[in-house]
Amino acid sequence: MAKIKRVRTHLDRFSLACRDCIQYYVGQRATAVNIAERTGSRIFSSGEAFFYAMGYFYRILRESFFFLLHKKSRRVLTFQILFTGVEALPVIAVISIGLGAIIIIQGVALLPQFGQGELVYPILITVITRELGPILTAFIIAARSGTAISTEIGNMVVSHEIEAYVSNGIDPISYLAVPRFLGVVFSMMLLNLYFNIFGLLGSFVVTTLITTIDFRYYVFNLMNALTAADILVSLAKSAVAGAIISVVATYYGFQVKVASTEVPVMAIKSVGRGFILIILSNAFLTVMYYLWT
Amino acid sequence: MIIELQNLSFTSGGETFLQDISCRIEEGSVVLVMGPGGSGKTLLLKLMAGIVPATGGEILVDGEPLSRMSDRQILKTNLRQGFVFQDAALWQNLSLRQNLSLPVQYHFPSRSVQEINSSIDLLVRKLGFRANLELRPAHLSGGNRTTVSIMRALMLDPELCFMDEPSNGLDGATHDNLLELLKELKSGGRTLVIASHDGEIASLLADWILVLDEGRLLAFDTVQNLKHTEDERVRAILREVLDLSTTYDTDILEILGESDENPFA
Repeated sequence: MAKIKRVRTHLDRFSLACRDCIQYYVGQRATAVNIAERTGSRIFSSGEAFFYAMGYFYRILRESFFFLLHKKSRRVLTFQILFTGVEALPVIAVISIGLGAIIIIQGVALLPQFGQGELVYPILITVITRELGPILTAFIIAARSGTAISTEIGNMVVSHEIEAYVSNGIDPISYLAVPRFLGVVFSMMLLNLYFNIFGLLGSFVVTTLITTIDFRYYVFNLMNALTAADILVSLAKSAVAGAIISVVATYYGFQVKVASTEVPVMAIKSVGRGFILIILSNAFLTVMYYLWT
Repeated sequence: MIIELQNLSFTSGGETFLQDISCRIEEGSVVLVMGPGGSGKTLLLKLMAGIVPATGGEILVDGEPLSRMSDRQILKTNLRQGFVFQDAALWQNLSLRQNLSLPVQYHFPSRSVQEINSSIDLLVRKLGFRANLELRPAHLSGGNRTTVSIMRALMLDPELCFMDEPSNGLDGATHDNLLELLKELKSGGRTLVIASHDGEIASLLADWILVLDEGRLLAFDTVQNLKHTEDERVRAILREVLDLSTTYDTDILEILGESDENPFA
């Protein structure tokens, strides 16, 4: 009897161990399935969001064409250019003059030591016109106008103003997003031009403080260093950055659903994503420039 | 403009807000949408107006399904209809005059400023609106904002008008003016879909009553038929909803049944 009892106890222990093993295995498998499901769902939703964003961009491009034909919301466009292009001018001027000054001081101090004093002009063109001009302008505008745009549109969503546009037969993309898109692109190109003028002239002013230099000689050397490709790539970079800032900002503004607490979250996202896309597009255009020239 | 709903439903974030709603709104009729708070009245109006896309079922506008219309077609349809929002939804960055003139200027750029201003003045007179039109919406009281929202909805002379609680916050005189304006719109053959708890609107204007509860359609019938409904739930909801109104002498109180059941008696 005692033997049978012992055998039964062993059998019970064995069955419990088997059950634990099965449970562990099933559990592990469930976890694996769960992880796979979640990863798949994330990839799927990211892909979906990407295609949605592409569709949104296409819609803005298409509506921009109609906007230029009909010119229906010129008031919004004018205000956007005023806000982005004109009001940002003092900040751009200070930064560009400062940057130009730094480059010329470093160049004048270092380059003659290697017998390459004349290289300061190509360096000025490369840094101010081709590289830092477009990217710094883009960063300033993304931080200034990008956040303003996404915050404004987000608040309009929360207060049902976007619904009011729809109910009055006014397409919010055509009326709100397109003028901002065109306004920011135009302003970016304009500000890039300002950045170049202030940066290059600012460097001349600083140069006159440390050494005597003829203005005509300075401009002549700069013009010699400047090529059409430099101007084109600089304008292309600022136009692309302007498009990125406005599309990303309006996109995240419209992503706000119901609560005002979503507005700052979307504004932060729009700046973060905007910066990344600006850097990537800048790098891409730089590579294209070197392949082209 | 005929609106037909076929098994309309709306689901978001796994929760169903409206379910299986079917009805047909005839041209020139006045439909009163009633139901307790949170029953889906505002959402139903927004779905019918094409402001929010439905997740199930179909909305036919003059026999054409809204789901098969392009965004541009929906916006064109919206031109034929006005919408009064519960919270007014005025454009905060524009003055009241700009709020009223924007839809006209956008769709009819050839219209002169004088023409637009005379349309605005006409509505201002009809509703007895007294605030300065150069102010921004933030400077107005809730009632005045609703009044401007009503005027904005009527600026394009719509065939159909959706009104979400249009009498909320209005003072007595403006309320009377609103009733007169609604009567005028009704006699002019306009279709009105009004979500309201206002007993006077119910008794003086409504041809049909649509009763919603927890996102479901409880009843859609003429006022005459609903007066004699046997459905206890419908009676209870109407009693509950009308309990919020302050009207004593209106026909709609007949819905409540015998005089001893009248909460105001």
